[in-house]
Amino acid sequence: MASNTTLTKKDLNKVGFRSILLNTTFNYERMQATGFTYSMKPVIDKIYADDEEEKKERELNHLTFMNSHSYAITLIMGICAAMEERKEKKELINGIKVALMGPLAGLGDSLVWFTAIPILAGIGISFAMDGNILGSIFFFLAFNLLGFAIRFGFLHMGYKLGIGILDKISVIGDKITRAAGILGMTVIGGLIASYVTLNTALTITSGDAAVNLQTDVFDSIMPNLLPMLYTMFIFYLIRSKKKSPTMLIAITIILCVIGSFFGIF
Amino acid sequence: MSFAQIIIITIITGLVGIDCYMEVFQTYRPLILGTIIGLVMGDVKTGLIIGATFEMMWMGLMPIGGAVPPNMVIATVIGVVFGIASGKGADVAIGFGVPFAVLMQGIVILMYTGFSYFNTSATKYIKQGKSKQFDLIQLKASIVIFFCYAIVAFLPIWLGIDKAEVIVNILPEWLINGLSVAGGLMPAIGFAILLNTMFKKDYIIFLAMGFILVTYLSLPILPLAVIGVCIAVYDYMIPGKKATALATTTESEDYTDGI
Repeated sequence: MASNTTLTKKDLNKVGFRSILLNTTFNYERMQATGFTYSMKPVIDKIYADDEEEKKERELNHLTFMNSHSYAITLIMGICAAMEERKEKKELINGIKVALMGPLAGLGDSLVWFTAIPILAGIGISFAMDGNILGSIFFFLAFNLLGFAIRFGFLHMGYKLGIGILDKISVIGDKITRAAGILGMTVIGGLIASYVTLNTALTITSGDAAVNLQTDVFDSIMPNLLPMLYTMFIFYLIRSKKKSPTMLIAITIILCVIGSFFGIF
Repeated sequence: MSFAQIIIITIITGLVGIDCYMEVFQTYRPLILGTIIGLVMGDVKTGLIIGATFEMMWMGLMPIGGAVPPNMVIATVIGVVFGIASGKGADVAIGFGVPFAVLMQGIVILMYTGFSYFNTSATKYIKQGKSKQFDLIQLKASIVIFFCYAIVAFLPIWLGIDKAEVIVNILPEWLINGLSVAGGLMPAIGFAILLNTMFKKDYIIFLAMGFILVTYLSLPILPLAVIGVCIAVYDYMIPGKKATALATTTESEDYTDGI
């Protein structure tokens, strides 16, 4: 059963470039199955070049339910490439895929969607709000640099480590997730203060003295208090009341229009 | 707005729509797309500002695990086009963009359902050993995505662009002001959803720190991020009961509410 075909860096990179199209056929039934098979195809075609039937079997084997992080998933592709090269049993390959897709999705989501995007976009937005086009360009370049570093880095790492990574990812993964959480929360706190805006136009009159609630009270105690309170209100609606994003947008617009009508804002 | 501009925007929307479906180059993020559409409309600055506003609104709305949020591509395209054409900019962009974003959300769900068809054809082509046809599936899917996005962008712009100014002018002042206030609050939704996905009690202190540093010291986001990195690295390095305390992190993430 020993393999006589070895994969080169070039073969792996082919998988990396094909993985760009991973989600093109995304669907609810098997999610990234077709995209995953499409990405792995060059590797399987090469290893089983002289066994047409086995090649088909191997490719169909990958055409099962798959769903992980769009970039970090290349780690699984790397591991699978190493396993295909050793001509491991199909069941073992499937087992590894199923075992890894969940944890890897969690790790990728917290690193890319919940940490990299808020931070890089936050920096970009601070330029964009001043009308500086550098904001968009910075965001685009920085994000793609990171995205492709993850895509190809994870791919080659997965191939090198083979199955050995299984234990490591659960230990290191948790620590990285926590570090990313701390960083993300710090930045979100700053983003709330910077970009959520809410000022009230209300004034309280007692006798001759008119107190403007916003400029005289909030701005002198804690300027961004109202934005923070509103963000916490939305957070409460999501966490405890399970409201959908669409509902939250509707609630916000209705509250603001009513508030504006009565002169509160 | 000329017909050529409408066509260019339609094509851009189709291509960016493919990127959005694939989740690769992030050209579909409102910050980037808003700038591109602004460029075509001849008003980059307004495009940037509307894009940045939408970017914050959609910050937490990530297409994770097949969940579908209101569509940021269509929101940005329609919002920027009508925001600039009506002359009111960011104030009315949300009012125009959001309804179409919800419409496109429904269409994406239809695509996610209908694309199961490609699983069947992939199986068929592999069994028949037709490698070329198998590879072409990716192209076929891309073409479908392109037209779905392009049509949803084209129709409202083509039919409504002349009326944008008229519509905005008959709206009462309090309504425009209300929409403008809502625009200022939209980022709260993005940030709150983001908070919900990452939330753990021990993190609250870091949220408060970020908020305080910016509120009282007017710290920009970049240095704040650097401070955050320092603390995160410190936390990563100190030995302790980290791993056990975090064993539940992935399980506690809750994606059931459609984000």
